[in-house]
Amino acid sequence: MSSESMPRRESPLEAFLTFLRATGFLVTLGLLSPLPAHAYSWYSGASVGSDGTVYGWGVTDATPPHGSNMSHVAYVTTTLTSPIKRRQASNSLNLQNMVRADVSLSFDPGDLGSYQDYTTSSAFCYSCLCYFIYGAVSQAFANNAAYPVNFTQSGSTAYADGRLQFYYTWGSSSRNIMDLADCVVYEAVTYPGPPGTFVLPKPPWNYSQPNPSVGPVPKIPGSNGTGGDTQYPGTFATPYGNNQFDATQVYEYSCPAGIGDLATGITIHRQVQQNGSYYTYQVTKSGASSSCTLGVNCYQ
Amino acid sequence: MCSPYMSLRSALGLVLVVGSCLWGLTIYAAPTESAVPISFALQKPSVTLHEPVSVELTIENSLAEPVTFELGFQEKANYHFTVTAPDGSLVSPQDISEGGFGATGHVSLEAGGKFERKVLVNEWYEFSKAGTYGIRIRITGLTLRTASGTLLGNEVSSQQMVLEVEPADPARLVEVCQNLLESARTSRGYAKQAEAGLALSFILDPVAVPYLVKLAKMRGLDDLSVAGLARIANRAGIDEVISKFGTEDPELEQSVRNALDCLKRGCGPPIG
Repeated sequence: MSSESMPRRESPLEAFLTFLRATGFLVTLGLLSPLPAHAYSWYSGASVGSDGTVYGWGVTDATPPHGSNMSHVAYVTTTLTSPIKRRQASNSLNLQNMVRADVSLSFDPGDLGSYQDYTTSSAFCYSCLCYFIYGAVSQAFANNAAYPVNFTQSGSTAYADGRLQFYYTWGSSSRNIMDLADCVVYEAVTYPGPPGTFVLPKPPWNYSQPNPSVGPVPKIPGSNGTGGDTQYPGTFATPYGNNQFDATQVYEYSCPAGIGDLATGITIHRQVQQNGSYYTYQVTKSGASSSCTLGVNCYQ
Repeated sequence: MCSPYMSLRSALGLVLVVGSCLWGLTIYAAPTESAVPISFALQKPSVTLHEPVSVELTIENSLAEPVTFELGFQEKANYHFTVTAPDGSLVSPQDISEGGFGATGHVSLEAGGKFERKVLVNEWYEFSKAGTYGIRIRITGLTLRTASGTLLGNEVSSQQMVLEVEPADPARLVEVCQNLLESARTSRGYAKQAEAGLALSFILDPVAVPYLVKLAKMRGLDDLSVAGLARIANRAGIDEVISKFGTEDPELEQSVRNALDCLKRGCGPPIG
């Protein structure tokens, strides 16, 4: 058996289709090439509202360049999925150049964590009779896992030995304090000077602290919901002298969902001043103060 | 009719009641038949040198109402230890400082509830030699009170617990470090993770360095790691510690150097 190679001849229909494809390609090139800077976009977003509702959205922007006579239609479908797989989906309904679809899932204390918004975008061009964006995927995430809220000073006590004590409370964004078991709450106190070791002004102090001083070690579990903070005088050495310094305090949290400030910019002012034949220590913070006399009744 | 035996029993009861009042309502932990029994037990009666030493504190509420009690700042400030060293000397380690921000130590326990804590004795005392130690723990300012206001006790003391510290065993210490790191990684909730991280941070042996470096990467446990590394560096030298990092980490290295500098310059407890 022999085989023979024969040149293949195009049918008239195939020739016509080839011509159409080539024409379409050239027209498309002609339309797009003068506008290299114009960009189409598609994206997703997600956020958590103050009431715990999680919002998601998807956008397809196929707006033709200004002055162009192209005609586009954009499509978008977006789906918001919760950690326990609650879902809401939405898609674009109107024929227009730019479309947006919005979704949301209401707060559910049994459904905390990372929410995913998944969007597919497409855009059709009537000039090239083609999809120039097709099934493009974008994603966004929002985490409504619990974090501390309502950090409040619940009381303070000034002791005669110069100690100044504060109590703080906080709650959970999920309204259940036990949801903060994986969170920590802590303070950072920054003293004057460079990071490292802060030597308190001498005289009259004889004391050093890490700078910044971050504590406690270990930190407070968020699920405690309470914390105490005591400002101590430090230790002093004779001969005494007048001196003062300010420290800046912040209270912060760290949770699986992220870190944040609970209270910032609190100034702790400490000073020692001669008062007759004695020296008096005074500490002031958040409008409260405590004092003692060096070498007489200060906490050592 | 009142028998002499009953009179004797009443008299003994009266003596106990009066005695309790005079002694500041001290509860002796063992044996106890209290409605809120408090017990102390060494987690392991025998360890090798540099292994963590923990006492398990258990408070059970057998009452039909909640109780509250105070353990002090960071749930530690009300603990006081007395240690009998292998040479027979009695040591009273310094109490934990209360400065700065921390947990209040106020605990509420539901009816029928059980409170359990591992108290890391190394925070108070370093078991630096092999031998037999005696450990006694006392909690003051306990203010153990029912929800209806009845004061059940202010102070509790443990019995003498005997601890055997065996000579150093590097292989055993590696195993302990691995277990603690794993526990810090996998425990549910920060409190349990920190409990393991704290124990790891008090292993004062360069063997612990690679595990502490890994601990530094865990959320909320980095400061425990830095404190532990600085303590080892204070003993073995900073170069020895850095050489065991196993990976370059300039940020952690700087934190350890800062903490070590603070240790060497005699940084005091936090003043807030």
